[in-house]
Order: sequence, then structure tokens, then C-alpha cells
Amino acid sequence: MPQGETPAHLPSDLPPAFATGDQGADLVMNGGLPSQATSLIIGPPGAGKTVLALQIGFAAAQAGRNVVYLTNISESHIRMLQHARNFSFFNESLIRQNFNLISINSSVQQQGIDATLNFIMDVARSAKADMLIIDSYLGLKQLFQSQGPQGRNLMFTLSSRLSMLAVTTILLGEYRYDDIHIEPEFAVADAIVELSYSIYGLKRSRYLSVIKLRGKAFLEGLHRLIISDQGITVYPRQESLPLQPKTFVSTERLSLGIPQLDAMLSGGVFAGSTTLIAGGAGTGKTLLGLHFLQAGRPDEVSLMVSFQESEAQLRQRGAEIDRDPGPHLANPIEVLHLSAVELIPDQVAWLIRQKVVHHNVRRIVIDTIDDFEKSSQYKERINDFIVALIAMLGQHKVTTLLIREMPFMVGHASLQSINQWFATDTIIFMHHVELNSRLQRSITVVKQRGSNHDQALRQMDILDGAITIGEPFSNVSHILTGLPALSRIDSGKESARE
Amino acid sequence: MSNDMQILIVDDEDSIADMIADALRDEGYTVLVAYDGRRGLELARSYQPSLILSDVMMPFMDGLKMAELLQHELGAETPPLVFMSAVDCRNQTQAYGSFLFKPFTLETLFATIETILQV
Repeated sequence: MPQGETPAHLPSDLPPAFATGDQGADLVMNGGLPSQATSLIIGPPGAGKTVLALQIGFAAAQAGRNVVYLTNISESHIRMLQHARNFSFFNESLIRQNFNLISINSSVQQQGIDATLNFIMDVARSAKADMLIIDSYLGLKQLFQSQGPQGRNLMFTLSSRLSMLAVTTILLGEYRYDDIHIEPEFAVADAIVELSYSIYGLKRSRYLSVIKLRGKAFLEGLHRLIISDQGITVYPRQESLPLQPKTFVSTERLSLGIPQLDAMLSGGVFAGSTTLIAGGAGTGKTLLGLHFLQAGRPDEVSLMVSFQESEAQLRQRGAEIDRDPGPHLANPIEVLHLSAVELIPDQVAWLIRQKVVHHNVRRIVIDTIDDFEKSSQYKERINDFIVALIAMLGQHKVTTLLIREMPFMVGHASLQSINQWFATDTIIFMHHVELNSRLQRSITVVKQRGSNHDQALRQMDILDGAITIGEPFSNVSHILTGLPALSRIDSGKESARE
Repeated sequence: MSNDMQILIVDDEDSIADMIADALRDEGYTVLVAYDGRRGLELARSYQPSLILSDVMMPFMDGLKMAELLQHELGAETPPLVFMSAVDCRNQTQAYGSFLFKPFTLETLFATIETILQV
């Protein structure tokens, strides 16, 4: 038989994985924990091991599989059930039906290692278990540590025996990361999932990472995890998702909802493209975003992702743009408002992804991308994060407006400070200009990939809650400095600053 | 209090079974303990206790199966049963005995036992 060929009598495919009950965790683990294999869930106390194991167990029981949850010294059943009832995945009707909670303590304490192994095997057999969870395996192992090689190799013996019953085994333990290099169970395990947390300032952040998943690809690195009433929710690190080259290139132009701006862009932005709206405070960036969303088609959903203004505020402002919307403007607009305080960038990306995949979202405004940077303890990753987010939206043919706050009112404008300029197709710059002792708004198209565009710096105003764009500034220069000078004209007068 | 009543406790959580056993011994009862349903059934057959306190979810044989087999074998001679569980399964247990929702206090336990045994 040639090398690498699978013998005909052996199954060539792995059995379907056990889903975790959370889509994010399943995505990270490429479907979930491997079936008929041994998985370790490790992490310090309070990291969420028991919650994750219960969630996986209930997901399996819900799917009609028989689950046995064996406990030793971890927690009494009364406490465990009291805590588990707080999670939405808990289903009382599955208890006893096909989710059995069984204590292993009496066997461990009184009968030794052989009797304990037999006990586990007998329990698995009598319950016709598809899944066996031991909480905590490390506690069990430590009790037998002194019993020579048999104690140290407990997991090898256990997993070999359970594999004969085609049982999926999940072992929990308060291991430290360094134990991976020392303890033999890490070599035996088919999958290792680590739950951890880090403390940054006053904030504690939880993470899930897959250290090993035999025979399958998985999303590398740390992924944010939260524990809520839903149980464990994992937000895959956006940059870890496979990035595919953009294959969708459209020549269709989409209106930004402001005819003069569409004209500046030779008819609008390309469908599926990304536009960066950069400008100082009060220049009308959010309003431009609302114009763009309201110009969507009635059969497509538009999404406003806002970290500052609430849905009520945004809807009120949107109503002011067009007080008498025609049928062409009656497109559905959803608002995803998340507080900028302790924002989790990967949670935002995940929620956007869910909206895009399940709600036919075709236009998105993210207001602002600065909030990702402000909220992340790993600021150096945010540029890659935004590039990956843009790539994901492009793959789903979403036309995106990213709003970026520039840190000035008037003064020198430098796009060098915008890290995302190279990843976007179009850049529109909004700016305040000090002219004749008053602030004047200006707007210009800095870049439009694959298209001609207006090069002029135009006057812009907000009238009755809507943006209007006027003529280019005339007889002045150095507008981008925010402090323009009068151009030399026949009268010989030279500077507005004089 | 001293009496000749014998109570069988069946619970896989040894800490709970042992704690209840100690408390009942202090009250003067003779106590038998089993940590799974199979062993519980054996002890019930052999000793025919005055009362059985049984968990529901247990290895090898759950409390309901044990009760069903006992009733099949002993009929009217089956000792009174009190099920103890953190899961509300009164609908399933009511055909075989009374029910105590875990956690419960020792006072509640003693009162339940005294009512059933009329001591």
C-alpha cells in the first residue's frame, strides 16, 4: 500500500465534532471538541472550565447524546446545579434523561486506583455514555500521584479503556501552562483548550485558546471569552480568521445620499468598497454616515455601528435629513449601539459578522474606528484588526464607511496619522477652516481607487440637519492648514491672516 | 432519642451521605449507607430497613430504578422511600415516595422522617 493511503477497512474521516453550544467557540475549534477522543480543558480557578464543560455537556444532551458528568472534589452537586440553573443552556428536563451528574468521591476515597478506573468504566457502560466529563481530573490524578507509574499514567489508561467504548472524554484540570511540558497527559490528549485571564489596569479579561487539536486546523492565539447568563461566549480574534483576497470587484456605483458628493466621486462609491471619512469633531462625519445609510435600497439592510450616540439620537438625526422620505428611502436601518466604555473589538466584529451573515446587511457605517484603539489593551493589533474587519466585510460584498476622528479642530491635516488609509478604497476628508472670523466646513475627496474624482476643496454646510455641499473655495489657498491665505489677486491684497 | 429504627441512605455524594448518616446516628437511628443504587438495592433486600433516603441520580442504577425493583420484589412490604435531589423530579418520584429538595436543613429531614415513621 502506498504511503499515506488509508486502508479500506479503516474510516478515513473523523466523526463529527461535539459542538460547544457557542458559535464563536465552535469556529475557533473548527466545529467543536473531537468526538471519541480525549480533550483537556485547563486553566486557573474561576477561568470558566466548569461552565464550558457543562455547556458542552448540555449541548450534547440536547442533541440526544448521553452525557455523564463525574465530579470529585470540585463542587457539590447542589451548588453545581444551583449555579448551572443561571445559564440559559441549562435544561432541567435533560437531567437524568440523558445528562447524569455523578459523584466519584466514594470510589476514589475508599477503593484506590484500580477500583476507580473500573468505576468510571462501569458508569460509562451502564449509562451508555457518548460523553464523559471528569471535573476535576487533576484532583483525581493528584490523589493517585503517589501510586507509582500507574498513578502518573492514569490518563493514558483511562483514555485507552474509554476509547474501546467510543466515548468522548473531557477532562478538566487547574493546570498551569508550564505543566504542558512536564505532565504526560498533554502528550496523550487529542485536544487541549486553555482558559485564561489577564489583568490590565483594573480590568480582568478572559481568553480561550486552543493549544492542540489533533488532525484539524483551528484558529490560533487568544480569543476573548465572556461568561454571561448565556454561558460561555467566545469572540474569535478577527485577525485569526482566514483572510482571502478580495474577489468581488464591482463597477456599480452607490450613492452616498448627497448628490453633490456623489458628483465629486464620479457617481458614488463602488459597491463593496471601503471609504474612510476622516475629520475633526463637529465636521459632520456621523451625519454623512446617516446620509449614506438612508440611501440604501429598500430590499437591503443598512447598519449603523455606534459607540457614542444612542439609537434614539441617531434615528432623530436621520429623520431630520429627510422629513418626507420617498419610497426609495424607506430602507431598513439597524443600529448596533455599544458603549465605548470597555469595548471589546472582537465582540463588535463578531456582532457585525452575525448581522451581515444573517440580516442581508449591505451598507455599514462604523462610528468611530478610534474607539477600537482606545479600548484595546493591545493597541498594536488594532491596525491589523481593522484591515481584517474590512476584508471580512469585503468578502460579504458590504459597502463600508469607517469614521475616523482627527485630533484637531483647525490646523495641519496629515493623513500619515491614519494607519488605515492604505486599506481603504476611498478617503473623504472633512475639515474646519477659519475664514473671516468664522468656522467654515470643507470637504474633499483625497483618494478614490480606480476612478476619477473631484480634486477641489469644497465648502460644506449643515442646513436643517442635512449636509449640503457648495462650490470650491475661491481666492484662498492653504485651506488644509485650517488657516487659509487669500490668493494673490489683481487688487494686490494677499493674506486673509493680515 | 433512642430507637430501633434502621434507615438506609443511598447517595453517590459521599460527603452528603456521610453527613446525614452521622446526624441520624446522633438521633439514635441505626444507619446503613450505600453510594450507588445497585448497592442500595442489595442493602435494602438484605436488611429491609424502616425507611430509605435516596438520591435520584446515581451511578449504575438511579433511585427510581431501585425503587421500582424494590416495589416489584417486596410489594406492600417495601420500606417507605424519601427521595432527595437537587433536581425537581417530584413528578417521577411521587409514585414511590416523598420528596425532599436539596439543599434541605436537618430539621426538615428529621421532621419528614418522624412524620413517616411516626416516632
